Amino acid sequence: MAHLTVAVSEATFIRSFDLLKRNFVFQDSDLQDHGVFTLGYDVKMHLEGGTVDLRADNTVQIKELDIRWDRLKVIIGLDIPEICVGGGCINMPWPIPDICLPRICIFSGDPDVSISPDFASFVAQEISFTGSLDARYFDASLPLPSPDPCVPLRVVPLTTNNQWQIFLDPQTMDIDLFDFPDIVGNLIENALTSAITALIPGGWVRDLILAIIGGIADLIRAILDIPDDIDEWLSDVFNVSFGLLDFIGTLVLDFFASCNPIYRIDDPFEILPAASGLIPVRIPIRNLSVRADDLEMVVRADVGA
Amino acid sequence: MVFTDRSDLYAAVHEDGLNRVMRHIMLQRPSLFNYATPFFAQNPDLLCVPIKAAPEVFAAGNPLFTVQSPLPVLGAAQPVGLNYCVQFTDVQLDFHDSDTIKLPPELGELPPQRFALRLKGCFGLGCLPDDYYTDLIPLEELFAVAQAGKERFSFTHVAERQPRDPIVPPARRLTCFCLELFAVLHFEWGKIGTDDYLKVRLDGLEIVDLQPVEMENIIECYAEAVLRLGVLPRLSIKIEKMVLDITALLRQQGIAVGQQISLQPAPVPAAVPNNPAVEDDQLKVFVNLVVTP
Amino acid sequence: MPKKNVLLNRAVFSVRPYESRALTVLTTLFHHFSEAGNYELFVRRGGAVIYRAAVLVGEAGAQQQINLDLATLAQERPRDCCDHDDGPRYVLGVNSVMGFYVSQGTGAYSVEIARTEHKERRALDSASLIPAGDLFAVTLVRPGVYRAVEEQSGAEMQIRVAHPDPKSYRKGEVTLIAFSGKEFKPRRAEIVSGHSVLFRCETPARLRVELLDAAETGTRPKPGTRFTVRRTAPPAAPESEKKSSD
Repeated sequence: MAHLTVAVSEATFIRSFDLLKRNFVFQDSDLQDHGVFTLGYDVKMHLEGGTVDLRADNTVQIKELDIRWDRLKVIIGLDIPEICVGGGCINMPWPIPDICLPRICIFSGDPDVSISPDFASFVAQEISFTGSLDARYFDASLPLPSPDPCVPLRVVPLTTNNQWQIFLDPQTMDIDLFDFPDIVGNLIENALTSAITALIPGGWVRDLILAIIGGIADLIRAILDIPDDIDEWLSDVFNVSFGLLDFIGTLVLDFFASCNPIYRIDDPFEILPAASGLIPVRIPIRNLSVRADDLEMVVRADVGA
Repeated sequence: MVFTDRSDLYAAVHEDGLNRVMRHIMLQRPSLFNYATPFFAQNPDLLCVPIKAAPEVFAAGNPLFTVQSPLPVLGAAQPVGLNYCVQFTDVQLDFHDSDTIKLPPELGELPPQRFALRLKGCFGLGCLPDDYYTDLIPLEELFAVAQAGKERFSFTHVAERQPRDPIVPPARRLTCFCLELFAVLHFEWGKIGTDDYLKVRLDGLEIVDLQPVEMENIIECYAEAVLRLGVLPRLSIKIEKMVLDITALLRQQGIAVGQQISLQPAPVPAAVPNNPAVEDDQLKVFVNLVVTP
Repeated sequence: MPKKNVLLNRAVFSVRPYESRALTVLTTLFHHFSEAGNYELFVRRGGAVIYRAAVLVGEAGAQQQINLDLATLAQERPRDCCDHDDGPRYVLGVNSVMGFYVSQGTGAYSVEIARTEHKERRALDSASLIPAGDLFAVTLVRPGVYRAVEEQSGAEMQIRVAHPDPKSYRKGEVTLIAFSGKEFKPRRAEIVSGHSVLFRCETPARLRVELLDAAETGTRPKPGTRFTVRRTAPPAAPESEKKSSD
């Protein structure tokens, strides 16, 4: 029989997971240059809700953990192509060669427009995963990996003590794809249209420019190379091009599986504090193991000799 | 078997584990189990039982024993003290139902929810060799004559001078004897300040077959006082430590989100019949989480 | 994407007569080099020469067309008149053309081309007349009815500039018009805003294109949007043309 047994009820485990989860914050930004347009994001998220279920097979199932976007800014910059009048070539009778007229451009350069709307309130996603409980020994004398992937994720401060650490170790994770609603497509189109329109004078000049660029809506689609709805395109961009889903998934996996133990126990473990100049009394903890069933988490260990 | 059907947290320590814990306490805090005059700091080899200590104790310069004043020689006009030591060793615990410690008949059968303690208590005294008497007697006579007529022993007078430091002749060897002590004890929760602690309480103590009986009783009386007032209060364990402080992170992260999380013993008998419980060769504690928003 | 400061080329939208004797934004003069030889090019603005260059015509395989933006010409240092190896020089083939246009600004320019050996033999003096064989192009952006006039003969023609339709708009359309010395052929032309008319002069000519009647536009400028329109005082258009432009 193990010398020490500590059991944590499912309710307490849920509370521990909830507090750890509430400290998870992810933020990132990136800007990709695609030549005629730039695409980027500036996002910040945290986790909320979800259900936690301890299961008899020594696993913990986390379902429907909400990704709450505090900021989900989409940055779209368009490099409007040159807008010019004139130009064109004409065949001339001999001996005059074919003549090409110069183009006179309406702007001194090719103008840029950029928008960065925040769609945090339009996107709802959930994460679900099942992880096993894993007890690992942290040897504080060993150097951390370099670079340390946990630096941006560590909410449980690093310890200077050796420790037994209990991690929730998910192997796989399901994350809802980004699915921007139709209204997001409309908002983007309207914002880009407004930004482009602001560049163009009114009246017949606008008519001419719009004719040259073929209409703003078409121009936007042509520049962004969008075959269909903007919202579907944006969803694809977030799901695939940005690699954000993979990134978030990896971060959440690392957050729980590698960077932040849900419980930790010092080794040696202090049972009597230092007093009146006397050193604290510590006992070595050996052979620590953890197991979950559907009602509780049980940790067993021995006291070292 | 579900451990936490009646509380948020549960912890159990098997008696084998607790005996190991006791050994670590004795090694890391030897001064709790050894008491001696300062003379033994330079002469530890004269102690009744050599003191074993963890390297950390030596590294920190912690004492191996708690320093005591020399045993006064009664009536000496010039105070004289004798070196002595008291040492507790070979501590062994046995939880109900007892199977390793056979209690003496005076203590009866170990009751439920109690645990037995067996330890050895050694007393050593540095007796004066004859040559010390040769030197000390003339001195005492001189002081005795000088103080003649002064009511030195009156309880109603304050001495005119501060008492002199006693002469403590160095011991060349110690005369030791060891007694085996048996005790019945139990655990209970109690506050120290505002915090909950697991405390050890002594129910009975017996020294086996010492004659005359009154002498046995006197020694038992003193040993009980030493344990109840001197040793056991310093072995109280904070409630968080009983669950291996497994909620330390929970408390820290609770503070980060404005929640005050503390631990409390599960109520008896509303939640559990015994808390702490001593049964199945284990000490069991049932603890609840108290969350204050 | 770093933000750029982009300026609207307001001269494009300034309404003014377009004249061959004063080259401005939206006009282009093409000189046809029908003879091989060494030429001297002078560009004037406000009567002062701002740019000189040598033009060598005759090399086989040389370019058939060079377009020179008069607004961006920068003379690093005065060119020695007789040193052909010094300063800018352009090499063209026989029967090539050299185009002179103004990409931006409100300046008016004229161009003079003369034989290097016989400076009195001017091949071109745009401030005076366009020689026979040369061409003058105007890109018209403001929808409405325009009149093209050859000032020596008084010959006229009408150019109707239609509103662009974003769905069918094609860039770079050019309509060729011949001036025979007495008349334009054809006498009416219809183009779309942003397209060009190219006058081919069979005799020396001085051409002017001016707006008679601006067409109404469907899109009004937003309040607060700044846009400058320079008024012109075009001659009254014939009644019939006025009606047709309504």
